Amino acid sequence: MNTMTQPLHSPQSQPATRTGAQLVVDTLAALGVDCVFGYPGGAIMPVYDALPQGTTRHILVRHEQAAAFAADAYGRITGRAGVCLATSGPGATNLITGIANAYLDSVPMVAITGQVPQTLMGTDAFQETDIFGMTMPIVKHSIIVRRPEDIPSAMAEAFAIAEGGRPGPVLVDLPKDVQQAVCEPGALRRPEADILPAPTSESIAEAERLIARAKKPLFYLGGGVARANASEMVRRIVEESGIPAVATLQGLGVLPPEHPAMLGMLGMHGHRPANMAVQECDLLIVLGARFDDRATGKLAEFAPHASVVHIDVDAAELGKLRFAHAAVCGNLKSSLATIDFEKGEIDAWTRSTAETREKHAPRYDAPGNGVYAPAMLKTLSERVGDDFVVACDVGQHQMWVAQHCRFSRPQAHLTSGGLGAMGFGLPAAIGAKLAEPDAHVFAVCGDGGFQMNIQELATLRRYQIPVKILLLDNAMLGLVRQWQELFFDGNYSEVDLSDNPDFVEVANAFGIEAFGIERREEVDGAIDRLINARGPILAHVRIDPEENVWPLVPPGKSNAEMMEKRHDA
Amino acid sequence: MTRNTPSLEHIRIEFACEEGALRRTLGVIEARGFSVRSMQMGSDGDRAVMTLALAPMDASRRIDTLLRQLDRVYAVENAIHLSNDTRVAEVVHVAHG
Repeated sequence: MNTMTQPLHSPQSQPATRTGAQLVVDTLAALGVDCVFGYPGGAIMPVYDALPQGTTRHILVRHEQAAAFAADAYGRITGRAGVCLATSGPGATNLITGIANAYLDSVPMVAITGQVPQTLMGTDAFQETDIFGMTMPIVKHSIIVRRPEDIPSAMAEAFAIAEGGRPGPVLVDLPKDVQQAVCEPGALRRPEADILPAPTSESIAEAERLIARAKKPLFYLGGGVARANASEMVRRIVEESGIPAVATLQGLGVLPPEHPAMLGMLGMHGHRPANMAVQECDLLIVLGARFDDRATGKLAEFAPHASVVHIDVDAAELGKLRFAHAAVCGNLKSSLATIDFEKGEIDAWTRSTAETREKHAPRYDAPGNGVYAPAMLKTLSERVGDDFVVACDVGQHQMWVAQHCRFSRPQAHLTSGGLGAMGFGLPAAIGAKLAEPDAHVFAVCGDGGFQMNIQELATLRRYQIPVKILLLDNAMLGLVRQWQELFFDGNYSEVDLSDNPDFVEVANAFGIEAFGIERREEVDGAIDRLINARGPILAHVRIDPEENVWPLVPPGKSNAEMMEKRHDA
Repeated sequence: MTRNTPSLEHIRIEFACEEGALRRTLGVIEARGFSVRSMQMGSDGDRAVMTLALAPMDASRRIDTLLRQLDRVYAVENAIHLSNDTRVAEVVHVAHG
């Protein structure tokens, strides 16, 4: 990696000596980090001692996992590494779920952990864990800084790696003696951005040949489109080519649902027109996606008639699970700019996909007087419009958000895709609101996931962060219950949450405004109240415990075998 | 009863001797579905070379994908597949530094 050198301090304020901890704070400022999420403890105390002298805002969460999730959301929205900070031992291990989440969804993040002094490392000291080793499989890179004078450059390298190429989390482990040691501050050596591989002319030519020849081409849009900030470019190419598109969970928002080329989300809970198109197409043009099993269903029967053009910045994804007839490795934007999307005769295909889309449009005429969550989510997202940002937990509500909400950009949809981590919603909404203060940020949570990071209501209250919480409470671990109903003969094992607390009272106890609804006629008023609230607010919405997510591709089956809701039931 | 023994794949990895590099490299190999059947390593202090014989866990594990996954490890400078003709010479080369 090439480096550029910049002074860490201005010549007027150049100190003679700095501690390692002071250099951490100085470097965060020099790198333009405006916000970190963290929780103090013994081995990171020198950094916390230096923090008040810096310019970086610290958000004190109430559990380190929430710090990692908030940093993750900050990274998804801004494209710059979100930063979380924790002590050694349990503080560091509590970050692990959030680091894994960022790794699996390719999110830029820098996690800074305190470590016991170097003389105690490897002795089973108090609050010592080998966090460097424990996180190796879930980080893009990691560094133990052994000398204070190395801190600025190590941190600069961590940020460059986290944000460059295919983004991901980087861990910086700081032994306490390194934080406390004094040194002469040097210049900050900032690595220049990695020079990304340019696609080969052969791969481009093969991609163009396949596109020109295809009668039934289909774009398959993944999270890489958002990470490459290529949404506008992709939208223009789709419009100019007329080629229809499907999206993964992470690719939603590249095209809004009303876009005529957009057939919806593919996969296990995908839209029928999307899955049907994948099964029928003769060419898949895959942009920044990795053939995740939740998207493909039974891989051997996925897109059985299709050749594949696969464009990705990460060479290791090309051909990993599905052979690519044209494997284009490079930055998505520059790769797309090189390809001539001169299509063949596809009018019959686009007419067919449009008809399927119209025929299988979602229905919102659920029987009864209870709140129908899909309809409420659709209305909410459409009422808020382009400023709508949602962070959700994992489960049925997460799939309803993906299926029914309108997103005008992929950064507006914050969801734990690869890891599927319950508890993501509330802390991620906190990170999102701090990253984009003008957005209407909603945490859409289930009653299970909400209680995994419920303590972050205190963070909302402390900083008066105006996150709006929509808590969809079916008093169940709903998606597990649905699988038990369908695939385990109705043997409901440990999914009942009917002894949930009164969530309105809980929110009030944390100092958060809250109200509850349970009838359909209350929905519009609840949406109004959420949108117009000036501070943090929680809407507790009781929904039918027996409602399921449809469609559903049974696990291990082909996407052609979609189970549908029976409207005569 | 006969048991199918997967054929071994031989690779050579050159990497910088930075903290965690060996553990990280071997971790990628095992996590991606290969077991290490033999390994030889030499180092000059800054840089190390190792050759490994790997057994894939099942037929779906492809060595070219593993090599690209190893290339993502920051310490790894080069990861190549060794043909039958070259691997004996490689082992001798690594063993003698």
